[in-house]
Amino acid sequence: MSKRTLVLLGAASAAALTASLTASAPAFASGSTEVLSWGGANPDGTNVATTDSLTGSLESGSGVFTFDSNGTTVTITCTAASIVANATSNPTASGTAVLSLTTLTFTGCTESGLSGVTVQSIQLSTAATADVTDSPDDFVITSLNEAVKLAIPLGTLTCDYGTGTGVSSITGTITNPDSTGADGSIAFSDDPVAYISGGTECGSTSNPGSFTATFTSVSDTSGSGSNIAVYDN
Amino acid sequence: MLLALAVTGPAAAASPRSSAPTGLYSGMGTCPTASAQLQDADNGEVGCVVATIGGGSMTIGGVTVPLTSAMTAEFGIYWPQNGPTVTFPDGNTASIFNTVAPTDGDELSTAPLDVPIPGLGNYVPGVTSAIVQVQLAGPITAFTPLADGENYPLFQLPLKFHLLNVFLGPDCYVGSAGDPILLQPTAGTTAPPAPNSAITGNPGTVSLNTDPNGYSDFLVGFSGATLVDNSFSVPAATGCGLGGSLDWLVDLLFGLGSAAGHNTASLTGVTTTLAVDSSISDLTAAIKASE
Repeated sequence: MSKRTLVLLGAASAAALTASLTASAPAFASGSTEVLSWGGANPDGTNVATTDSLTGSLESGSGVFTFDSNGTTVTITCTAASIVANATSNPTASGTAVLSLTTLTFTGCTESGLSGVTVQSIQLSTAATADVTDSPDDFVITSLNEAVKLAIPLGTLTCDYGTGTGVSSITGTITNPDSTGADGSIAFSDDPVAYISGGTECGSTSNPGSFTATFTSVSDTSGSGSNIAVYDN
Repeated sequence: MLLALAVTGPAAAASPRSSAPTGLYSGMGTCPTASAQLQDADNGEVGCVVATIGGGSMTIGGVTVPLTSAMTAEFGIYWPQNGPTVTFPDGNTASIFNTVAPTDGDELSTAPLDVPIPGLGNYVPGVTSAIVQVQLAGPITAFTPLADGENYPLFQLPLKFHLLNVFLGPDCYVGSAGDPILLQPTAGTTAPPAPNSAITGNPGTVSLNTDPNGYSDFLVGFSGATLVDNSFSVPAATGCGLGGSLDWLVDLLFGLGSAAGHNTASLTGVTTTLAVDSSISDLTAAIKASE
């Protein structure tokens, strides 16, 4: 998986935001200075608390992963995805915010390149880490192990990809939402993804896969109001 | 007549000759695609398999027999809808296929092995050695190709050894249909009884392919694998010498019968090609199209 354009824009509905606001995260927090905020860019936003959970979804049709299976190019295209990250560190800008990526699940996936193969699931094997900076506007994923489970005529096959030999991190480019919380994203474009395990049919460490996806509607589920989009400051 | 020759000559030259499958389907010309088992409408998957064992060795008791000649297995496979599967600790599952002998009945082709008799110099093969013909003692069963890389047998291979020596007569065997040498080789790690300890095979390289002519079958190639088993037992010899009078001698020389934990098989250079399809007609056409 490569460049994940995590469009962290929360056009999230108020109904989804029944979560209570923490006392430490007032809705209007002019003067906020931390790397991640919701509801607006700082100083007008509300700092993301380290107890907060951030969610996002896949921009329609944008999830594509390719790998080389012993000379055969296999392409997996997904129509939906869910990303969930828990903030573990959110220092004052221009520091580096750290997220624990607990969910990175793709659905509605189809495979091309090999007949008789279907995609059973694509999800994290273990939590990954994402570092967020404002300059540059990067979403840098490390310790990523994404399990791609394929159903083939002989049974099921799990191939693990992520960060590893030859690919120390996968970087998405952050585009902040506008003032209304719309149009934010985290974009990954043809980012190299390391083969980790699963057999030679899944690839090799010398021949990374490639990942393209754009995540949008990145929101702080602890936020409230009409704009809970997450901003990178 | 001359006209007839003139007409039939080129036609005869251009007429199709008996041909064999090529490319990814090489060796599948005897796949039993017309068998009742592969034609069964209740099958979820059907397929054809060609496997070559390049070499290796078998250690029985204290005697090691190098496998100096390649062995080739050819057979058909079928898996009923919702048929048996095995789930591995990593969460993957593998279908366990039934097998059908090829149309020529030659499911396992082997060349005779010249095995020195322990303690004797091999001066005259067949006299100071035993010519050993490795034979199937029953059908290959439980073919589980996706067990490649798992600590699980890829198949069950019941064998018997036909020992040929001027003193042993024509009916000297180790193993039989009722009491075979049952190999259950794995490309993973074994869990043998003592005194043997665990050994590990090598899954080699696996390639997944699509039919070059647009058929919907799924082709898998396994190459360079090493399969191991050190959990099998080897029965005593039977029929050696007049009325089995030399069975005891064969047992003594080769350390037979040999209980599980004392024997090891290593099959090296294993290359397997298999084509599987949910449709027997599509598979048959795919093989035909490769000729």
